Amino acid sequence: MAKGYLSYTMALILQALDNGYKYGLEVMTVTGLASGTVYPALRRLEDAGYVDSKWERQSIAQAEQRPARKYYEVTEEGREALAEARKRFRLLDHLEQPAPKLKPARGKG
Amino acid sequence: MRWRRRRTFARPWLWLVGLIGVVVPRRLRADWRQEWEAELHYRETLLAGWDKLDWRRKLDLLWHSLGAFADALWLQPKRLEDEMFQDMRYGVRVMLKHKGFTAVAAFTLMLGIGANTAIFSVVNAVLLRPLPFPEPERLVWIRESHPPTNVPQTSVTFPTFLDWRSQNQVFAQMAAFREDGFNVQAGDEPKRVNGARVTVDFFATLGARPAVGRAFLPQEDAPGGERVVILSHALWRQSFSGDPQLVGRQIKVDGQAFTVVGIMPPGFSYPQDDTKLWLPYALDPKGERVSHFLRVLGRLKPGATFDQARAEMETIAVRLDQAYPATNKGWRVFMQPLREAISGEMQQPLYMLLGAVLFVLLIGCANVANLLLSRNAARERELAVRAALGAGRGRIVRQLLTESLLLALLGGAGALLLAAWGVNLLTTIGPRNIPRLNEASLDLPVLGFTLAIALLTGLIFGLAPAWQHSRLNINTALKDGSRMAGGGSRRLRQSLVVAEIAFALLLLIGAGLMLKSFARLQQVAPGFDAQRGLTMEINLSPAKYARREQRAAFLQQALERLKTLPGVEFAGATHRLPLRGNSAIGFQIEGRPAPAPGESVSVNYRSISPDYFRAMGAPLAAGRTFTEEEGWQKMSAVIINQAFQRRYWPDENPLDKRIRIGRAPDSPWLTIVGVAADVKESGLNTDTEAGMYLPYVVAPAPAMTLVLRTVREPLSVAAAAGAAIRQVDSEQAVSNISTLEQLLSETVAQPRFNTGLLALFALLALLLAAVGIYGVMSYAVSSRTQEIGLRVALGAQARDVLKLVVGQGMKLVAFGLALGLLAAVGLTRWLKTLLFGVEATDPLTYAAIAALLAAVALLACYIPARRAMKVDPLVALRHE
Repeated sequence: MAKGYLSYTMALILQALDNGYKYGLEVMTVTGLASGTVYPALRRLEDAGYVDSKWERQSIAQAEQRPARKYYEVTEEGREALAEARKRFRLLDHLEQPAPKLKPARGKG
Repeated sequence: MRWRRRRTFARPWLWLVGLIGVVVPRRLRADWRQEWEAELHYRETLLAGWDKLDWRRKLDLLWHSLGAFADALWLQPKRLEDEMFQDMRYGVRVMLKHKGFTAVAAFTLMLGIGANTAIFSVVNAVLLRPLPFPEPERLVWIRESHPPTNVPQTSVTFPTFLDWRSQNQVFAQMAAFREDGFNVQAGDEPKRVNGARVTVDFFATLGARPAVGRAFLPQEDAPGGERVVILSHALWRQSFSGDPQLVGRQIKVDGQAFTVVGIMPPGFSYPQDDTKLWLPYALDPKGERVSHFLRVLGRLKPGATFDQARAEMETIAVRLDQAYPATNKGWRVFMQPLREAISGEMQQPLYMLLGAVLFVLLIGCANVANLLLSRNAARERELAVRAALGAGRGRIVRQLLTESLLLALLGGAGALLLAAWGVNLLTTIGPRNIPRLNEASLDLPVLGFTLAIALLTGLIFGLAPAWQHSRLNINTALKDGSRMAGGGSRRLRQSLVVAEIAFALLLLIGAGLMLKSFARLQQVAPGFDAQRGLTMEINLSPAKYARREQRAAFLQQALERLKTLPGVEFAGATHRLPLRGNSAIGFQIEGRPAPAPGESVSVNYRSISPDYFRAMGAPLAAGRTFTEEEGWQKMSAVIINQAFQRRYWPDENPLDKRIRIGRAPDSPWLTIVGVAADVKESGLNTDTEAGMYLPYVVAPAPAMTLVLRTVREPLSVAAAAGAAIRQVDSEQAVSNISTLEQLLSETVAQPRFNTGLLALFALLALLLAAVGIYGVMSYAVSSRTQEIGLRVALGAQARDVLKLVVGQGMKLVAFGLALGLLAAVGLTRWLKTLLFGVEATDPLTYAAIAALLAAVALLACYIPARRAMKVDPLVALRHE
């Protein structure tokens, strides 16, 4: 991906990550983009150095009896690119912040 | 991994992701699967936790997992990287397996790429690398020109320089300077160093500043200004052992005390590579407008263009023309970007050499391509198997290209070693007068060039075989490998050979022309006897030898002493050796009308001592040389050369006619006492112009070159000669001790360099082309063994076989020669200005070179043909 210019979609995804959504699926939900868009975009952002990815700690996944998830974080460089993109795309400001707790307590309801 | 086993069949989205994962490049597959599975899994548990996992949500999950497919597609380019590594691994294995082939191919490429790298490093240093000054593109070289008398460019007079400087609006700074030699006292022995007298803005114009101390101040170049000097870093280190306290102290230059005000940073040496000190140029602004002796350099204002500057300078010149018709009539401005002024002359020979090595490399490429073609013929079966197992055409082409690129890189790595050695050699043996040659090195741009050319080479020689193989017919290839060397492949090889021959011929003709021209140049008689002549320079300090009588007395005494040295026959002196260019002076002939104002009539002159002609071994055509009295005391005699006679007295005897120097009415008339035979004055390839020899007393130049005619090896008397000079004046340094033979060989150093290198490359080309045609012919013979056996069995004689093979080879050679000759007629035009005494289309050279190449090619065909003649039909026919 060429560095410097972020398309709206890319900026949107970056903004979602910056707002605290860490996983591909969450980003999909909050941005309304299709998974076929979000994941490739994440990989390209990662190649460009705007985003870092890490695997979730195994112990957390183990406790919840599921495979460890991969989460994404905006890098410093990504933040700069985002700040630049925000000047162009005003709508980015309206992207929602994550709820304090997205996940319900297990075994209830 | 317990989660994996749980009810996968009931969760088609996970199953789907697993399936799609197959197309993800293997290296990324595990991670990719886990990410997707984890996400879907998580979403699923979340939904289950909310109790919302109904069929619509499940469908939604399925839809998401389908999105994984798009993701997988985006990752496809990464697959190339994977296969690249695979190809490379395989390529290395193949190379190691065919060690002989690899060595031959890499060696060929090493020669080609190495030669290119070495020559390019010279081109880079001399022509491409920016000058070592800030914003060098703003520096302009400014000279005067006089179109009415066909003087394209010459030095500048001081008043004109001052007018230029004050009237122009386009230059930020403008400086004048002149190279000069100085005797510097450091320790006991006086040392002769090259330096320059400069106006104060010299350093500002170049954008340079002393590393220690300061540059010259305004007024320091006014007549009677302070005696100050700036030293080069090298002189400071060598002669003053890097004394940190030197700035502010006094040193002795030409016998006078000068205060050191600055020391330049290391690496700064302008105008020459060995300029070691700078003195302010104290010039009289009311000086004459007729002595052209200054070099002028300007720095354009930011934003000003060269063309603007030229237009404005032209306007100023016209203005001066009108203001001073007596002196400036017809004088215009000649301007050049500084870089062009420094290395413009080298552009053509260097690009010629670069072109030549590129041809060598192309020939090498053709050879390697041929090698690859025959090796790939042996690999046909392997490639066919790969194709049969499902390798696509693109995949196989990529594999073959990867192999060629690896080969090229291997050659390139070897080439760097070769080039490192070559650059070293070139800078050592290269002529001194190639500017900036000593800066040639394998720096980053050169390494980049090598890498680029190596990759390009790999593509060039790899493309043909790869393309050939992409069209392989698997069926025939699998059935029988030996019999299927297809017609297409043969034609490709043959055209490669034709191209090789053509390129080689082109190079050989170029080299042949240059060699012939060089031989012609060396046959030129310089007009003096170069054997057993020793030369050395002395520079008389203007303070100590202010008056002409003092100088004459010193010189006369020194020559007297030198003549008596054992081994010395004659001792003479001149202010400028032959082949070292000319100085010009205005003159009048008695009884002829004086030239109109502005129409200066000038001829070349050399200031000499009476014994100069005997010392040089240069004969007089008529008359005699100066007597001692005429030489040192009485201004009464002059000697002209034959060119002078031809121009002014073509049908008369010039002896006893009188001429006078300059236009001053009180200048004495000088009687012509002799006519000297013409001597080559500014180069072996130029005609001698009208000139005269003035006795030293008439033209008492402070810097003179002594010439000693010796009876034994000239350099053996050098030490004694230096001592003899010091006996006359203990502070007088002698410099540039050399021989007349060295002088002669220096003047042909550049042509020798160009010719030698071109000849070397042409030889390399010849060799490679011979190897190329040999390779193709022996391959042809071995693939036609059965056919030849059949022919022999049917009654063909050895002679017929020979004719068959050699005829086939020579047909290619003839094609190549024809193409090469055509190309040569077109391309050698560019050599024209480098040639002397030979036409670019010299038929003799063309014919001789073509015959040479044909003979070598014949030999290269004959060896495989002999093998063909020895084919035993019984063996050949039985052998399947």
